[in-house]
Amino acid sequence: MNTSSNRTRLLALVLGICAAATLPFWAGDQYQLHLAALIAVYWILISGLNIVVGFTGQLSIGHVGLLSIGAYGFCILAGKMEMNPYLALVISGGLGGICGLALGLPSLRLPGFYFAMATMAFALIVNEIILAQVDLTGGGIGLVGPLFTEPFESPSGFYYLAAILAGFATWMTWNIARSMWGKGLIAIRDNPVTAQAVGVPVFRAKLVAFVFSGVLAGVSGGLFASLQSYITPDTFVFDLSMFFFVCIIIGGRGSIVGPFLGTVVLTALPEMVASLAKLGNFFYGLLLLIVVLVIPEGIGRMIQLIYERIRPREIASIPIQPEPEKLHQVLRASGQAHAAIEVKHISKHFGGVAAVDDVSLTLSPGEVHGLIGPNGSGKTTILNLLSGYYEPSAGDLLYQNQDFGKTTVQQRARMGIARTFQKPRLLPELTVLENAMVGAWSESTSGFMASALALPHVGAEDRIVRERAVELLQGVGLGAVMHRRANLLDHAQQRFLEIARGLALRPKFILLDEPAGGLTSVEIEHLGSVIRAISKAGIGVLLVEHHTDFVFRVCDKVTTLNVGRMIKHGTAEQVRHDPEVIRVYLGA
Amino acid sequence: MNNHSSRPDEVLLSVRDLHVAYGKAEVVHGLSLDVRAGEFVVVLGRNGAGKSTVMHAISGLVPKRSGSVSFAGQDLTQASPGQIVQSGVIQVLEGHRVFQTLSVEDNLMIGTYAKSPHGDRTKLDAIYELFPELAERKQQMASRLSGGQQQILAVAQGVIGDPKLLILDEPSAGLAPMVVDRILTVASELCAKGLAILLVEQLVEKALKHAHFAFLMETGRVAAAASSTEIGQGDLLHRVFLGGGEPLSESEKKV
Repeated sequence: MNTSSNRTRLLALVLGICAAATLPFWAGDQYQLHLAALIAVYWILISGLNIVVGFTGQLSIGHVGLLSIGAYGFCILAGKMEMNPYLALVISGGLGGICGLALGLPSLRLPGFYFAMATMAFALIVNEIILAQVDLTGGGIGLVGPLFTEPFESPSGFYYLAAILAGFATWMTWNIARSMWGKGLIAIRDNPVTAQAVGVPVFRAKLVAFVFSGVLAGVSGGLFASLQSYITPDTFVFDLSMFFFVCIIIGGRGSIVGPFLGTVVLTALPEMVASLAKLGNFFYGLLLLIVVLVIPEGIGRMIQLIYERIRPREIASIPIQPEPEKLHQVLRASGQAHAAIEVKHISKHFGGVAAVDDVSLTLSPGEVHGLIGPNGSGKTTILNLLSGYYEPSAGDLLYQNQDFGKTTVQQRARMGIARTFQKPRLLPELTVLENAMVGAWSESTSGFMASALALPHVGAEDRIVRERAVELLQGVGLGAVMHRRANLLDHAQQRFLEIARGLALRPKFILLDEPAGGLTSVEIEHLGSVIRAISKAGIGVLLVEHHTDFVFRVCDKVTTLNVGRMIKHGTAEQVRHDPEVIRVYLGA
Repeated sequence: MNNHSSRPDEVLLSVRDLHVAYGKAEVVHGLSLDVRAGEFVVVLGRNGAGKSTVMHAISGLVPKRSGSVSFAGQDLTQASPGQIVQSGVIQVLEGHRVFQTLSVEDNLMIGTYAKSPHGDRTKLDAIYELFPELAERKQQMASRLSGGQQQILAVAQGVIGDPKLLILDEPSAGLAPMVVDRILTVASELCAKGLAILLVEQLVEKALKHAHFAFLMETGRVAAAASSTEIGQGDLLHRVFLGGGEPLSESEKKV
């Protein structure tokens, strides 16, 4: 953000790396070296779990199961079968990934709490299987954890191996966090409806993140077995899973530094202060309680809070100043729709109630189409049908003679249908710019691993998305607050940001749900100029709104609904003077 | 509505020198306003001026940095939101916030809990009479209502609590024009029966039509306070909403 905070961060990073690289030379004894290696090994697992828990918001408490699969896989391959330990470590990672897939595939569809239960059951089942398969796993007696070969055989050698892999894992998760994937995963965590609207394939993205964490858990397991030199099912108690989870929670979600500090503190403290070790789980519980009560946002956020206390950031209210001409130029460059969306005799029933009943309308490129009517007349339902949140009970939705009524929300986004929401649905912890960038999700084609490894094309793509998002924000009038966190925006700014996010999708059509709600007359003027710039660029606009003067001013066509049925359709002038419309909606 | 030329003497709500900050950044800078007994007061101002923040501070939903709030002679500066509701100040929050997974009727019952711990069903009929669209949907889950209907429910939830002062934060958002008129008329009628109203609204003309007295807010301060007729006629209103002008001089503040 600002350069001095970047410099502080860079300095901390360099110092951290130097400390880690020279640790075997200044660590007091073998035990402390062991502890450092253990932290590195745990962190490999936790960094991956952090993507699942802290970023995607999926509460997995079963990662100890994946850890033990990696550990046993490594012991069996490198010990019993005398395979090259490095190859065995790679295979352990693969095993972790495969088991992560097998666990995630059925369970990631479950809502939060049930998913956590499923992962817990998985961890317990894995332990039972290991106990039962005596021939392979040694049952209760356990297995010897083989050493690595030179140069990583000695304790300090092992430490370097673990530290290098931990560094690599950190680098990958950091890359993900700052890529489009990171923003998409946070969208899943904070607002799944928004994630869908911008085209994030919610289930697939969760699964990919989970498999990634499985691979890291497997690798961590292999290293863990070698470090502990002997493993039994008792090594992988369920408490360990809670430990991983607690490290992330006290570290703070959506942060990488926080959970890392959490891991260091929680691993080292009980070992260094013997009296704490005796307390065991009680200590973790107490620490968790303190953190949740005192700094619910975690250690990572605390650092940021301290920083903000030293250098308070201004959150002065800055009025919206759109640049319609600029907006028009930016939108013009991304190509226009050539065909109209035809809504034909569409109906939607909820139980016995018809929310929308036999409505037809045409949404043409470059046209502003108003949709008005009393509360509960079906306006938002039509928006939900067009953007794919509802499936029509009857009737067709046609674009270029194709019926798209049954496609998913994400497919609609890719088709070029963007929308805003009656209550703005932003990602509160991301900046304004990042919120706008999320809108361009469908445009970014980089895979998860490409992003994790920061392949060159990812950066190039990211730059294009970022530059366009900046221009769009300037266009709608939010240029001055671009780097502000979205939860600091006032109501009007939130509404305009939703429009910018919708436009980032390069839409052919944009559906606006009460964009003028809560705006002042001046802001409504600005909204009008933004909408005109959008339609002038060839984008079709569907406008649901109660500010009727505004609707009649900006709309080319207006459709009026009442209890789900269309009562009048025509130009603004025709609708405005229709006696039926006046009777049910406008009032005298 | 009738615009009193002079305000009633009895001060019901008194906010003095209120400062509110989010973290280090102060957003309300020494604001004072009052609502007199039986008065309909509107607070106008641009988005970001701090109107909702002031309302939240009055209701105890955000901490006050300094200043005082008293209601009917009782000091509420340090009171919890629950105590504030008990004392008769009920706020209808902006953005149709109702309990999504409860039925319409249960949402209304919750509104009565402050006064009667087991809920008071006797008031339901009167509410259904005021808001017939809710009567039709008593047993429906609130999530099944449209956004506008949820907003009506939120207002009804405030009214059923039988407040002495009802704070309405942008009740018009998401409502059809006719319904906005009805809600404001209901508020005026309640006011005529002795309830004081504190309204935050962006539909300036409609709000001024119903209110007796108006406060104009600009970046965390009161820029002007006068009867709604005077505010409606002055060009100050125009200037505040266009923004960007130089700060008001002392003489202008008095209108």
